[in-house]
Amino acid sequence: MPWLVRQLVRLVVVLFCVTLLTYTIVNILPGDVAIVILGNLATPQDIAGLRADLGLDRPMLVRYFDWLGSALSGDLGRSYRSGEPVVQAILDRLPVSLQLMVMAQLIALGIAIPVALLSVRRPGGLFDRISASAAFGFLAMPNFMLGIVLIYLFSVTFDLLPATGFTPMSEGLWDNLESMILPSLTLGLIEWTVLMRVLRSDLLTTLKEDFILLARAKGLPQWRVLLQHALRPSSFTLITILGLNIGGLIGGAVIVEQIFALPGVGRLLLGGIFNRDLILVQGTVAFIAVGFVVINFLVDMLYAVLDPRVRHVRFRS
Amino acid sequence: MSASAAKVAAIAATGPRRRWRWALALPLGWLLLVVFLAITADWIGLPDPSAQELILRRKPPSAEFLLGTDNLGRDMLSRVIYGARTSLIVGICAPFLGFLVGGAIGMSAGYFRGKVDLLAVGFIDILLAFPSLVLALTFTAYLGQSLFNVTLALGILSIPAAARVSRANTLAWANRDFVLAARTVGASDWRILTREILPNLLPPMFAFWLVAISVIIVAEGALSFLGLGIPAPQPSWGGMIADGREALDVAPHTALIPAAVMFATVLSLNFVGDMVRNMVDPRRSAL
Amino acid sequence: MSGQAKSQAPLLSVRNAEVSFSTARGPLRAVDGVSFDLHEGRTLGIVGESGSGKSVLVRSLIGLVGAGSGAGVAGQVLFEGRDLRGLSPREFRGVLGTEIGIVFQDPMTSLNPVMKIGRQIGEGLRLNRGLDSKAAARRAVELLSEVGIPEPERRARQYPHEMSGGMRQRVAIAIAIACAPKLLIADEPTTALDVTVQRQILDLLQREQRQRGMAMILITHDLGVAAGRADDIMVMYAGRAVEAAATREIFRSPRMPYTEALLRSLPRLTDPTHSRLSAIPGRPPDLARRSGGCSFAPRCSYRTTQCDEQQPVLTWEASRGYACFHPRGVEGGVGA
Repeated sequence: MPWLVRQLVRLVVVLFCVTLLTYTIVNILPGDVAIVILGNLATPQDIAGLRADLGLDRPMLVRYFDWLGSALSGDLGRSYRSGEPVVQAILDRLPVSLQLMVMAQLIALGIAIPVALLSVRRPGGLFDRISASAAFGFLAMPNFMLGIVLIYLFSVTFDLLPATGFTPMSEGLWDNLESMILPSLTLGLIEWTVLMRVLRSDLLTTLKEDFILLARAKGLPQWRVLLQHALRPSSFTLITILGLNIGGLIGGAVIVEQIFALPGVGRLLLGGIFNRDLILVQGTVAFIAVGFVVINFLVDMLYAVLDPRVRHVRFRS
Repeated sequence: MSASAAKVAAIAATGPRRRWRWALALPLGWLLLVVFLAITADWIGLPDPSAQELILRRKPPSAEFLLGTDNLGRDMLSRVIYGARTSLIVGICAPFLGFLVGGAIGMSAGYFRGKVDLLAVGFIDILLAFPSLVLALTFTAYLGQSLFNVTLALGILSIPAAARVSRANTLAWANRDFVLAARTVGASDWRILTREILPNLLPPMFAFWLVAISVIIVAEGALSFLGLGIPAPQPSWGGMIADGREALDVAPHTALIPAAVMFATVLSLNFVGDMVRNMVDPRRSAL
Repeated sequence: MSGQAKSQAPLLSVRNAEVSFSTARGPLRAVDGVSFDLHEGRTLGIVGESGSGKSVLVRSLIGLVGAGSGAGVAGQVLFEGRDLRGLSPREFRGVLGTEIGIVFQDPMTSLNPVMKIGRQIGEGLRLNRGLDSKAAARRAVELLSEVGIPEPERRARQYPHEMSGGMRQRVAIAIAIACAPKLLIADEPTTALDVTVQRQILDLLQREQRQRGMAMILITHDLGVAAGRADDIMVMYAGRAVEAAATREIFRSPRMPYTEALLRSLPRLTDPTHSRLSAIPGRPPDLARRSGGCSFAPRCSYRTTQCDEQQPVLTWEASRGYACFHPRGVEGGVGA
């Protein structure tokens, strides 16, 4: 089977299992949905009636396939609380979360790549040691803690940036960015450490290669050797980690959206959990998990595009 | 936990150098202090961490209240120390739980190979397909909030990592001569797994466990910060930071003190964990 | 070499080159006081076993060993009368890019795996000769066809992994000669290749060298490779030059027992088929633990107590030099 087809099959299997697990967690764990909705004072008749209405009296697997069927046609049900379609609720909030994660990744890469490049100029040198210590320190900062510290520094002490709240892009790009800087920094300042270490170690390996010597022998200055010859072949692990870390980033986004009161998908999920809005939680968790799996799949593809050797093996044989 | 695997690798890579070994005293001392206070909290004359004194709310650190008081006039020092107890219980027990289950899964997968391996790896892949915090949130939301349930949820999250470490190590040990020798004299699979392989798994598992503690303490903090972890009056660092956030402008110490304590603890754990891993596995290959 | 009565100054002149590395087991002197001259248009073969320091020597001359790698480099290197070690990094890169080309041993690792062939060839041209990217690309195609690669336009757009080892080495040669250097360094250019293509690559190198009038340093562990291609040969052992002479002289009457042993290990057409090749007994010395005497003494069949106690220096006799107390084929030497 060609590589691409095999990967697609694997993707479908994983997606199936992931949605099934989501459905199971939400439906099997203690707490009858009907009781949750109606409250403890509801009569048994009311409960039975609602259960029938919701189809809860049927076997779980049957209900799962029902749910999966409508999910595939773009219907994740309606929120118990607001009556809003879950898909609509997610799509409304998705741009905020995506902007947050993209900005966080850009900040992380924007710090990690230059720091890694500067570090490998002299491994074990002063800059290398300082950046290693800084990375070790930032890595030990929980994101909710860093968020609070950043608010304290930039909003409370120096009053430079808004502490919470979100301004949509439609009301001005600058205001929008201003409301997103601290949230993205909170994620990016932790994320860069992981990326920097991975890139640094791969750069050091690449720099021992003969083709780097050859590039030097062509008379290329150090920075061109690093940027044009060493960086790209050293970035494959980085990209894998970038994909893997999106899971952490999504979790981080949930927290950061809560800290900074950003109307994103994470906050939607939290609201659903607090309100016991099962359909909403189920839909959101499934959406996040599916998104995560698909992103990882795409990262794998990107890997193949970046490395011509992999492309050769995967797409031609 | 997908992110934690990368994180652990990064912690390993950012680890202190050999010549910094003297500096180990500071983090080790801090951890011992935290553990000691958490254990003896009941007997060292601390005020009740839940006792509210609304007149004395948001007092900065003073001789009377060494670390000040919080929004409800509760003694911060006492809350920080009892919070340490919460963090340590969850941080130590959850990975342990995960390692019992994940370790068993990983060992069977690495030892029996074939279909068992395929099944185990598939199971791990599915668990890893969820962003870990989202999975933890969902679990605690439905299990209900309590110390036990938080520990359980975070324990489940440590299964994949534990399974990976034990699987990789089992694969490496299962073909060694002494295992083959045991097999030729007719030792049962059970005996080989427990007597020959398990002892060799313990050092890398222990090293990984140390790092898992810091990851889990942070995860517990995040859950409590979101209000989905340890339920209200019981102190938890994450919950304290969340409470303190409301008064960040008038009484920043209510958030910054638990934040600093948490940071110091996590940093120390990473430091010590890394040191232990260097001793256990100089090649860091187990991860 | 020194023996050649050339009127003009040598293109490359090396005096007392030293390279040392600090290792866990103490300092290791990989190159220990090597001197030689190379004139324009001539080929010098540097021959020695692996670990004899021949590659390190040449790489140190062009600054590829040294700064950053923790190696200590000493000695004087004059290129066209300019002291290379005294140049600023910028000037040095200029000389390296335009005047010196290098071909490495393994074309699998010496080409950038994620950069197209054409760009790798044109890179130096754009940087050092100021060509724009179009002109550089055109020139890259010309160079590819010059080094004997069919369909050069198509090949220029490919990546290294899409080519065979021999073709990749041709590409490496194209890169080396792109900026029309005066000196070409070939560091074991055929060692990693199939036997069948080794000869083609050597022929190509020789042809390019003659046509362009370049000087060439051909580094090899195989005297046979140097035989028909080098004007002069310098034999290295344990980081030192132990014999240097015109190729003809080396083959006709080696002075140094080590050279003699190397020659004996070559297969000859005149040998009866199935005769055994003689291998040199023992192994090269540990450079971190040098003795006070001749490094080759432990493996030498003419060894005397003098060899163990004193280190022979390279001495010149007419047009050739050798470092041995008991030179072969000389009056007073053992077995003369």
